[in-house]
Order: sequence, then structure tokens, then C-alpha cells
Amino acid sequence: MSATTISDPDLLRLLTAALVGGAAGFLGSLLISRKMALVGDALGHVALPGMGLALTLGIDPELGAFLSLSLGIFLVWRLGERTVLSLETLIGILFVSSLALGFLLVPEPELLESLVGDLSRLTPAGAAWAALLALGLSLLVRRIYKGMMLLNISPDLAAVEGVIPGRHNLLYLAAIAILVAIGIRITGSLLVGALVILPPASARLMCCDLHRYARLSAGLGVLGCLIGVGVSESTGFQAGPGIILTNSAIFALVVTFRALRRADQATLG
Amino acid sequence: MILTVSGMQVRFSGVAVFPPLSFTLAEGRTLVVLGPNGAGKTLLLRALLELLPHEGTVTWKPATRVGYVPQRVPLQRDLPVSVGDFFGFKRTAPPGFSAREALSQVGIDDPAFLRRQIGVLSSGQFQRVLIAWALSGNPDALLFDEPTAGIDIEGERTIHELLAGIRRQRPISLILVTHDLSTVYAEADHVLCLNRRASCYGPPQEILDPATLGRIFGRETKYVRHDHF
Repeated sequence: MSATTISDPDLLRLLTAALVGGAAGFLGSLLISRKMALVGDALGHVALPGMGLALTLGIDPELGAFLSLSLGIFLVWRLGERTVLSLETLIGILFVSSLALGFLLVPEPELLESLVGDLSRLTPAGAAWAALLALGLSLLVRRIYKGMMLLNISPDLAAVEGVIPGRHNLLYLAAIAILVAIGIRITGSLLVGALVILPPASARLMCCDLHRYARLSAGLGVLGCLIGVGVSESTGFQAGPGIILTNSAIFALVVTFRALRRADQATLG
Repeated sequence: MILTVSGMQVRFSGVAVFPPLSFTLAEGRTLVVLGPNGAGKTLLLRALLELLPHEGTVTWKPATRVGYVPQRVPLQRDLPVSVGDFFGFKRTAPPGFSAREALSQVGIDDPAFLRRQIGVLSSGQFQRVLIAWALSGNPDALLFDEPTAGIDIEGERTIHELLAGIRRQRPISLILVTHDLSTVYAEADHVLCLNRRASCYGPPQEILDPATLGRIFGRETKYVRHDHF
């Protein structure tokens, strides 16, 4: 197979990347509106110790990542309920501890792949599972989306409306953790956080009401992955950095376009 | 009675925030909760809404719908939420409710207002949106926590006129939390005054004398009454 030919497994991987990118954009749209944009980034690193242990034991690293993330999310949620520390603080503590542990546990030959991912090693079965999970997570978060946004505005108003903060936060963090676990195969643990930050950041600059913002976040996530994978296929670069740089380029374009439009309006005014 | 409270107490780390409270609220009447800053007034409201664990009993008349306007919701300026979106978060609104009608009740008739982002609203505008939001659940009782906090005198007057207008239109029971004595005389059928050590309850004309106010506010309190209306 040449780098410029797309076979069926490649197409499946492309579709999976697009679905994971879309789900990441959609889920991330809540993260950046809660001023927790770096949570996805931190969770990517929380997966490292689990991946390291899995590689050492010869089992699927994604399973290790998932277990590591589950434990991390449980700890963050539990400590968040029991202490006065904010979610960001707890995730920050977990992040640095996991990173240190990850560097010790991940065998050196696999370290680079763990950090930047390798889409080409995603099996068709793995791709199908990842796509289904991405869809499922998007549907789950869609159900709690308004409640989460109301929690952003006022936890008391949300509680009066029957939103249970602990349950909503746990569900949402679990969804992010699973997404990060499947996103790691595509972009690696180092870059997976960018999947949930960049598309919503661009979307936020492009529109203002909630429905368009959420849809645009998902749409830009899909677009970034499609273009990123396409560029990496045609150039031979790794998909992970390609996807993230594409999303960064989209963000830069949006910022530039806004600046030009403002300059135009100032000239006309 | 729409609300009966008996021996209610809230504790933080085992320490009682205020003495055990017992009071009632009749339908269509207004109870003003008066006390200095830090007296636990907001905690009392949150306990009435069952948002906080408490001792004693809080009994609402069956099927009572309760609306709540919290004190000073800090607005995140960059939140991608329009006023229309915000009303879309209301789960307890009755079928066929209209955000435009709810806003109209608080004197906002511009349809374009629904498209404005809540992050760019002034404190007064957002307070009115919060009141409209609470009213859109068609409540039998409304709990207002410092309805005029952080609002300028003109905005304060508007909020008081709104409250009076609401009471004229429908027999809603109100609980108003305030540290502002003028609100008591303008609005209250009954007053519940409290601080961390003492409380009193009754019609304002009967219980609010300089000695009681001094006990609640911790100093000799002089008050010159003036009406809002």
C-alpha cells in the first residue's frame, strides 16, 4: 500500500478518527465553558501508568489506559466530594503524579507511540469499537448537556431543577475519560487534550448561542481529523500531530478572520 | 399553610448556624427573613429547598411548586449561552410555557432580548431574567435571596415594583431574604429575624422594636421608615 492510496481499513480508521474528533469537540465544548480546558490534557497523562503496566504485562495498552483513567476519575470525583479542593486542583495533582509514574512504567521503545499515538496500528475491530464508543459518549453527554451548562451558571439553580451535581460530574468525567482512552490511539497521550480544546475554542470565536456552539465544536472536531488524517496519509507524517496541527491552523484562521473583520468594521465605522 | 417549619437547624462541622427555627407561611403571604450578613439567611433558604441537610422538619403543602432566585449569581462573561438558551434549561416549566411571556412579566418585551448572551447583561437585567426564570415554573411559592443585592437604586426600585406587581397578579407566597429594613416594612406580612444566637418571628409591627433589632444586628439600631411605593 502506498502512502497515497486509501484502502478499506484506512477508510475505517479515517471514519473512526472523524467520529472520535467530533465526539471530542462536542464533549470539550463543556470543558472550555467550565474553564477546565486542560482537563483533557491532564487526563491523557493519567492514562500513561496504565499503558505502561499493560505494555509490561503484554496486554492491550488501551485497556490499561482505560483502567488507569477510571481509577484516576474515581479518585478525583471522590476527593472532590470529600474535600474543599477544586476539580482542577485535584486533576492537576493526579496529572503530575501520573506523568512521573508513566515515565517510569512505560517501556522506552513504546514511549514515543504512547505519547503521540499511531493511527495506522488501529485494528479494524478496534476502530469499530472506538467509533461506536464515540457515538455512544456523544449521545450520553447530549442528555446531560443542558444540566451541565446550568451547573456552570448556578449549582443551586441546577439543584432546584433536579440536576444532581455529583452524578452529572461523575458521568461527564467518565465520558471524558473513555474518550481520552480511545483518543490516545489516534493522537497519543501527549496530544489527546488538544482534541477537546481546539475545536470548541474555534467554535466559541465563531458563534454565540449554545446549539450552534455545540454543533460547530463537533463539526470542527470532525473536520480537523479528516483533514489531518488526509494530510498525514499523503505526506507520511504521523496522524496525531497532523490532526492537532490542522485544528491549530483552523483556530489561527478563525482568529485572523475575526481580526480582519473587526478591522473592516472599524474602518467602516 | 403552604409551609410549616419546625425546629429547623443547620450545622456546619457540628456547630449550629442559627438557633432552632419554627415558623409558618400562609398562602399568598410574604415572609421576610431579616438579619445581618453572616446570619445564615442564605443557608436557611437552601435548607428550605432541601439543598442542605438539616435538623427538624420542613413541610411544604403537597404539590407546591417552589421558585428560587438565588443571591448574586456570578456571571461568566464568556459563556456561550443566550437568554433563550437559559430558559431552555428550565426543566420544571409547565407545557406550553413561553420565555417571552415570562420576560414580559418582568418588564422585558423586546423579542431580540432572547438572543442576547447572558454574559453581557447588566446585574439588574440578569436579576430580572432570574426572576422571570423562577416565575416561568408557575410557582406557588417564591424564594428570593437578597433580590436587590448589587443593583443600583433605580434597579432596586424596579425590582420592588416587580414584586408588588407579581403579588397583585397572582396569590404567590413569598419568602424574601434581606438585611434591608426598608424591605421589611414595604413587603412583610411576617418577619423572621435571626442571627447566630437569637431569632424572632411575628408581624413586623409587633416584634420589630429597637431592642429586638439591637439584639439581632448586634447594636442599637435606628430606623426611619420610608415606603417604596
